[in-house]
Amino acid sequence: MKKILLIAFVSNSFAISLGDTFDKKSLIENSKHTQKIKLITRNSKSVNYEITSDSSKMNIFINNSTHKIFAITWDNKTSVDFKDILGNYYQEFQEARKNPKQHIPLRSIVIDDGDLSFSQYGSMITGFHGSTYVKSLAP
Amino acid sequence: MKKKSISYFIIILFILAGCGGGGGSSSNNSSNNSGNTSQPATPTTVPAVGKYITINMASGSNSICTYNNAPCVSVSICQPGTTNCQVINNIAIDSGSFGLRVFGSLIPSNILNNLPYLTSGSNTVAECVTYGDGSANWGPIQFADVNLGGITASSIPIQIINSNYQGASKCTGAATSPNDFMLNGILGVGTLTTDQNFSPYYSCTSSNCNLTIPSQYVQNPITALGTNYNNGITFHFGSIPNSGAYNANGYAIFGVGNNVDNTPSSTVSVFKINTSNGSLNVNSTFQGQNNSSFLDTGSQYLFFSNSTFLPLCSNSLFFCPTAGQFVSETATMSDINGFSSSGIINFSIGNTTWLLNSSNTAFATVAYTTNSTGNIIGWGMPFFYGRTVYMVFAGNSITVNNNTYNCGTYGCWIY
Repeated sequence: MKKILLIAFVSNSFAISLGDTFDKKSLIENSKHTQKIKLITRNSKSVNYEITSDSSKMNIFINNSTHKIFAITWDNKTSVDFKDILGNYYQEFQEARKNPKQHIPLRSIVIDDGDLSFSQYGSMITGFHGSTYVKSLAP
Repeated sequence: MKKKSISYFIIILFILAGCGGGGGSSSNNSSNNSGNTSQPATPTTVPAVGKYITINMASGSNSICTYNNAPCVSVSICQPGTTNCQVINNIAIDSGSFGLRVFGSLIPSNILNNLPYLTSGSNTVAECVTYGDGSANWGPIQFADVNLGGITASSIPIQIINSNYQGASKCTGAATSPNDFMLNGILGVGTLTTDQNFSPYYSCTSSNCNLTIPSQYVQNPITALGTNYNNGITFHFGSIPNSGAYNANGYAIFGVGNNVDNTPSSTVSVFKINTSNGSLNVNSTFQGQNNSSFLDTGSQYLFFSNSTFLPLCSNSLFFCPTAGQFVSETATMSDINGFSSSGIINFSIGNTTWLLNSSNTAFATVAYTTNSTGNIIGWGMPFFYGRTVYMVFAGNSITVNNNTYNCGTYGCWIY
């Protein structure tokens, strides 16, 4: 029981980042045993996988022509690590965050610099829910 | 073709551009549209016999507890078993979390150094609590007597927020000061006894911390106040105008159903809290859809995953009907756990840009969309104005209209 609880908190990071080249085989090999990967939709332009663990659900969207992850959504027990999720786009996110273009509720975040979008809201009772995408990576 | 694909994912994810939409009936509460006028709130009726703490909205200064709809209280923290105490104000009372967290920098060293640590073997125990904007609270768990409105929760585990405490690198975004966090602390009074399973705990040596399962967890202080006060909490706020108010206040009365101040009237409905999709919620039907919904004083505004029922402000997720007008909406909260209760929620939404262009600090009509997947409604602080809301803690029962409701594992919300 204790081990399961610890894994639940550790596994909120799926080691998947925006802009990564998707490698399903590697993802499966590196996934902890509590994670399940499921194909949700596939069409000529993109693929959507859902990855779940005891405390988390993440959807990733992959551009079929570039094999890059262009969008991620998540429902998590705790906040995701912004650096992990954003990967190489973290610096761009930091820059956009300095100049928010709109009023934002406390403890929530909404960023859109025209190419990169990022939002997350949540608390203990609501859980944490968010999404991010890069328009220029989309099919 | 590319535009089509992007549009598809924008629909899935979120839209920042405004879009039109239908809505309920609208009313105009202002004589003109030139701007919103500040107006003082009518004081809320003081509880007659119940024990309580006063909640003052956005009552702080220097950016601490000054944001809109910030429900702040004062808490006294004492060395256990002594009168060696420090009153700390500008702490947000939050029905969406569990337990007390206070910046250690606000507690004099002669008290702080005498608060026993929660330990794991010879190590101390620290916690990382995260928030939606990426900020977090990091710090050790220590035991304190917590005095609320004249009664004491004795020697309970609280979090002492300290971003300089060892192992802080485990907690990305750890707030460095009250100014950084915009609060002196958070008093989590949600319906659970502790924050077990909501945040990771760490066992810390003087140089490193590793995940652990602690022997105790940060505790909701209300649950330790003693008989007649510890079975729940009652929030009581007076009404405020649609256009907002300043100096609004309310009361958090300890317990539910123990005295004239915290006993639900015959007109209320009782809802048993569910757990689903990682949240504690009850069902609310709105615009023909069922939603997971939350009663959360810690949320500044109402929020909806549905983004289409009203126009949004330009380049924003806030709803924006015509300035100076308020659109009346209705939702229905319904119990799906066998209580067969339901209740109508009437609320109004105004133009955010117009509303926030005043020195008012309390707003009952500001709402935004998370524009997210899943159907959710956040009944944040605006919901509470003009209402008395009862929250029965997990494991307790409540009798209303001669019916006894077992609130089970997660508690009940009553309004």
